Amino acid sequence: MIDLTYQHILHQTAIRMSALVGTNFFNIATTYNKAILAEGDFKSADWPFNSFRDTIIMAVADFSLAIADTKGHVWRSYLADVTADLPNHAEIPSVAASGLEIIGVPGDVFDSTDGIKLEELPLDQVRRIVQETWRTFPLYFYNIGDGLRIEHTRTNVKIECCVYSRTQQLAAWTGVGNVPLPSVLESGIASRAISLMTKDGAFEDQATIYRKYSDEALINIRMGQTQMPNIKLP
Amino acid sequence: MTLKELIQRAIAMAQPGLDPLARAAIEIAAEAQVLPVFGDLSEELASKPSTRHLLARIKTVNVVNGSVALPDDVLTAYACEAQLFDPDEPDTVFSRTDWADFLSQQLDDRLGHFLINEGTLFVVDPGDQYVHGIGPTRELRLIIPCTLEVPALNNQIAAPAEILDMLLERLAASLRAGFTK
Repeated sequence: MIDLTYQHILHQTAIRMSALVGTNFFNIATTYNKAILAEGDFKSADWPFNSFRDTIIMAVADFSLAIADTKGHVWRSYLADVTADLPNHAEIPSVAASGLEIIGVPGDVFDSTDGIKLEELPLDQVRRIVQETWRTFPLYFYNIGDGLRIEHTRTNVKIECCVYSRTQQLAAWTGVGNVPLPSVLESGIASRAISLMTKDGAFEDQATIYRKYSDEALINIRMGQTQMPNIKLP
Repeated sequence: MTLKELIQRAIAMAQPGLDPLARAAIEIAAEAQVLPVFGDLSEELASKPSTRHLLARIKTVNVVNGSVALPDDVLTAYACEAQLFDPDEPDTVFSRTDWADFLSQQLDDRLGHFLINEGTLFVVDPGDQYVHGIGPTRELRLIIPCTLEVPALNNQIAAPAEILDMLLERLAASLRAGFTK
């Protein structure tokens, strides 16, 4: 069950940016403890409420792309979708069957009819198999290579992929909804958002700390790992 | 066992211990090896009197005016082991006869007679003598060694269990042969 919401990230980010309404610890805590923070709970002169929205969505996009760029990462299931049926020589689509934009690298390829996974083979071998019309025994091979097309030995295949939509995430934000990623990424996403909130030299030191943390988190993900780094304060 | 099952089992027997590229190569080669394996085993079984009987099949032949061309899978070289019978007249006995006797006009009229010559079956009913172009017109059954038939992918292989085992072993061995050091 996904239970990391945009409000969780907003709370973490807003408190560290000193953006919440309140003049002392107690009334800042009162603001922070509200389940849903809204524009009226924010007082920052530097960061309008919607800039928190846009920055947090950018941070979610960064982590989504890191996961989607890593073939075989266990968290790809959070962003999972499939393409429409692809005949031999079909162009690799830029949107999934759901209409959402495909991000990152392709996942497994499987037969559209029987769901059997195809194995990758050099292009010349795939083409030879396709040309050998005497074959009746089913073979499950494909090649994408560096091109924009897929060639395979089946009638139609689907490609597992990751998808992302800013429009959907904006709707999730507005609807007080969930981040489409695992809850353990709360620290990583919040850190990423804070690291992006610097301007004219202000908040630079804080941004550097949180940038280092979120960069390490993203590197870990791109290496196929799932653990978050420890924060090392200077 | 269907042909598809035979190929799948042979692949499963041939693949263990090999790297992914070799395993893919075995899968790709499997169907192409079927014809030579069936052919070689047919030849080997047919060449030995002790195993030739395993290739015997009952073929339905539609004789017209005393003759019919036999299908290509019939091993006419072993016509000496052929038997002919009429499913509608089980009491009728057909005797295999050589060419000289078949033409002699002195065939024993208690029996029917048949001859296989260059891929054609000639038949004479009991009481008749051979006349070219004249003879029985009906369906008969011929029992004779035949080559192993390669069926369509999802059809059963028409062979006894003993032959199926041999086909499986030979196909697996031929697939593995290219990767055995």
